[in-house]
Amino acid sequence: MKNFRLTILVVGALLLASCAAPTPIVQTVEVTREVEVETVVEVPVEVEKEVEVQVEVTPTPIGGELVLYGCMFDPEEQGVVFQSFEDQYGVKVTCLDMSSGEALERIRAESENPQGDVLFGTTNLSHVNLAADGLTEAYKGSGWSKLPDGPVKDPDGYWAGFYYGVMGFACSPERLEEIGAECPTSWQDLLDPVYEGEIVIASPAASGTSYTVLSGLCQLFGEDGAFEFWKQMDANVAQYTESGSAPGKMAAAGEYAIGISFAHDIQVQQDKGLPVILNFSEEGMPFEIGGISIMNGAKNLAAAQAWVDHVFTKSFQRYHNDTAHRIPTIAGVELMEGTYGLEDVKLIDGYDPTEWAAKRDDLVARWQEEIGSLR
Amino acid sequence: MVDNAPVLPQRWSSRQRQRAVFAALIAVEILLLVFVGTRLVQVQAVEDYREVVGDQETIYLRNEVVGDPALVALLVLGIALPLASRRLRREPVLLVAVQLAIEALIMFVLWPLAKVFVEGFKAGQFVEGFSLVQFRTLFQMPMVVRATKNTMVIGVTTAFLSTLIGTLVAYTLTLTDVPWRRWLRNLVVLPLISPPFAVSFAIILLFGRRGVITYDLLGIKDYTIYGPQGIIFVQLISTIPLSVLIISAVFASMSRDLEEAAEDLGGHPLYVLRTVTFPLVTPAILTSVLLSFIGSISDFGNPMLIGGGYQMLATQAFIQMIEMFDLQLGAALGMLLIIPSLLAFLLQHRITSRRSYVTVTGGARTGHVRKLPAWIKWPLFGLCVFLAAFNVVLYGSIFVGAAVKTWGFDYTLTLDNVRGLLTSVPMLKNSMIVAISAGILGGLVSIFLAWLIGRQKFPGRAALDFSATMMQAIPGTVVGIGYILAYNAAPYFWTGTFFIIIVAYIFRRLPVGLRTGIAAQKQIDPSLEEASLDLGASRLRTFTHITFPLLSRAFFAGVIYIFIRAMTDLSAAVFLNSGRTQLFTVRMFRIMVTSTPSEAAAFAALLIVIIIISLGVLSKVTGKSFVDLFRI
Repeated sequence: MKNFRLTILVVGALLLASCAAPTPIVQTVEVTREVEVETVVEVPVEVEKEVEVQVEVTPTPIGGELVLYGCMFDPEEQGVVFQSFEDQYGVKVTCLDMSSGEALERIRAESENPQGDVLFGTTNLSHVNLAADGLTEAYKGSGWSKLPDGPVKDPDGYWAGFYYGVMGFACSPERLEEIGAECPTSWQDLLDPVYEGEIVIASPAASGTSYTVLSGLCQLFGEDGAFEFWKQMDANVAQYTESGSAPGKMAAAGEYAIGISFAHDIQVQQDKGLPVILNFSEEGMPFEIGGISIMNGAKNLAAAQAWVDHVFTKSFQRYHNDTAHRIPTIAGVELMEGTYGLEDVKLIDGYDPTEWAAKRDDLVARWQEEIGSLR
Repeated sequence: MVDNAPVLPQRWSSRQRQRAVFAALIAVEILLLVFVGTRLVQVQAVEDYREVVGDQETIYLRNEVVGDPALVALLVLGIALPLASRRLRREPVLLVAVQLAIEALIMFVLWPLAKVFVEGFKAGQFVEGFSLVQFRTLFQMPMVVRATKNTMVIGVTTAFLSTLIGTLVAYTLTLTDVPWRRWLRNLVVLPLISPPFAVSFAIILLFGRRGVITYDLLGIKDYTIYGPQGIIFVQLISTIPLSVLIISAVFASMSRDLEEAAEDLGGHPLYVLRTVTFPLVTPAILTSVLLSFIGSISDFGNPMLIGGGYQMLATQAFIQMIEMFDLQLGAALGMLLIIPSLLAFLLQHRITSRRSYVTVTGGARTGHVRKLPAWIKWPLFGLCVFLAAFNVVLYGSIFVGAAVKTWGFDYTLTLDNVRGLLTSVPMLKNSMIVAISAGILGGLVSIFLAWLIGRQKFPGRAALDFSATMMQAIPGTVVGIGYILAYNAAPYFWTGTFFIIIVAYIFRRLPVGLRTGIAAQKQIDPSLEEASLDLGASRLRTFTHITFPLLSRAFFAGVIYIFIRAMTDLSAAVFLNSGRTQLFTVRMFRIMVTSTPSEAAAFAALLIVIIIISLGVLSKVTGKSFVDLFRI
């Protein structure tokens, strides 16, 4: 038995030793090397005025693959878009469906070893956050240069907005008939008692979509005015959903008279043959900007940059509007009949979603306190 | 026991042989540990800062530890602790088994969860270390208090009703002579083969404000399914099959002897049922309560779809993490969710470990039909028929929905929705790879742990049981985040691989196979194994030749359950799948949120068909009939 105890002791000691080995030692090692002094010569580049040519420049094949995060496409359309990109550049595209929050968490968690190359879609707020954390890298490609200054792009090139998503009122004609009402055309209409228990909107505490509405109303009516408005509207609200697109879907299915969602989501429901009316407010609608940015340390950088440029071509923007109905950010895209462009919708004057992002915590907390927690 | 065993002629004494085996084992373990340890933790020289003096640049390096020394320390402990037990030192096979189990549980259960706790305790992103600020803020939020209360209401109601109905159904279908038992059994457990969120989806189509049954058929207006009633309704549909499976497994293997004895002594059948039959299934009943409670409080898909804004901990945790980008608050809410689950688990554990429930003895007779008075038998039969019919309508509506143009408006038959599925073939392939691997490996792991925990005696057994079962109580979202936090950084880089998804499913869904195995084992008399040991068989041989065959039902329960849950899981999948490993359910949920009911129905229908086909293949391979696969 003595032998045995000894064995245990030795084993224990060995184990302890193997455990104790990797202690962090901080030491400085001096390494000297010649620094190559680079002389940066500013070569004046003649910036050519961009001439829109029918045939876009034949791209050089890049090959390899490209992983997109975010991706809010219909699978069928996705196939078409990726195939055309693959045909042009020889790059195989994989797209991972995820909401902005999922994408953000993933990119943060994977920051040491990025699995994706591009965050494609999701609201610009994610892109702003990622840039602030140093998780994306600047790229002032041809797309970025095409965009006007203002809310649709980052001045330093960290992200660029490739679509506007505008809020809209989805109305069920059947349900409206049952309650004997019309589809509203202004925010004030929503206060009409005829809509009692018939409005569905996402909770700003749960959905970025609904925060777009809250911040837009704040821009429109002032902060106190917006909360006063919402408190009155609250009497007509049947439920605050947790998903931003659910209200539009519920109205399309005829469950409730009015659902407040993104107009492009409502139009997609129309495309599928559901009887749903889409109205906008005369006072102006809030909107989001869908952004695109390249991840810091992207494994397929060349393909990522090519993709970003590709997204800002007129053909892509046109196709995106035809199928997903989101409004192009670059000028001069001819739209399919029946879809909305910027000229068809009144946006809220002076509204910039990026600016409002900073107030999100405070406004959502106030909303919770004054409205959400009272239900 | 081993010392007394008659042994074959040999040169070494049994003690010498024991020591030699032991020494060899230790040597192998040390080598392995050093090998793994040096890979898990590495010291790398990294650039600290640079200094430029003139045209000379100096780069200062600093040694940095890459990896988690804490994890390696835990792993070393996992190897070392069992060595302290004299009992284990005497039985090398058992020793290695215990060590293996501990290592696996540390890697894939405790460590990822610890990472979530660390994240949950972080007060803010830029604050290092631990703080309770997050929890204090948490209990100042009315949402948290309400969500906790709501979660308990849903959990307790679902667990109670599910187990009550499950017990009645299991009893009727296993131990009475009602007609159509095979078919009823298949139909009652049908909801197991679809993702839980598909149930909400179908319920809204049928019983919603515009539901085919409530609105079109019955003409009910201004009624709503959204809310707690809807949540309990859909959760019951998902949890009753599980309760039925768990409880009928025990009913099926229960010996008739005790009941006969009670009846011979003059007990009225009902009295026997109450005092003999039901007490015998107590472990299974408690397992059912535990699993349906945990399942209903940790699910977020159903409350999201049908809750109508009814706040629960799981949905709020999901929202905080996914929508609000607040990983810390989300993780903290996840931790709140773990507490009631762990309490329920502790309670169940206390009650079941106190008594003995041996019913399978050397000469057992099982599966005899009980005679019941007609006024009890036929209402029970009616309950089963109702459940079966309900499921048929529910799943029928999914198939009808998939075949028509627009559910609710345009019932023209079309193949458009099916064509839309073509783009999802690669994701389907990924899901199959994951589910099959996780199912088979998970079945093996759960049977191994069931044998270890249910049968062997060693110090720390309760802790092992606790860790193995704990994962079921954790919301999938938290599991997903935990795995990413734990295994994405150097030196692992496991995210984006099938490996991490498979491992997550194995350990997340382990408890069903494990508990079924333990429950089944409680009914097998240890004398069977002891006889084998006494006759000179090794512990390994006893396991493969005696224990495993007796536990094969539990094994298949584990395989099927893990396979199906892996095929239908959403909450962990959204975090763990990646570009090359994209899973089918993730695509499906997105379609349900963004597209029309009919397109979504096509996805659900395809998944159901695939699972049924897979079960068919499994039944061919194993030689068990389709019904037997379900009966478990």
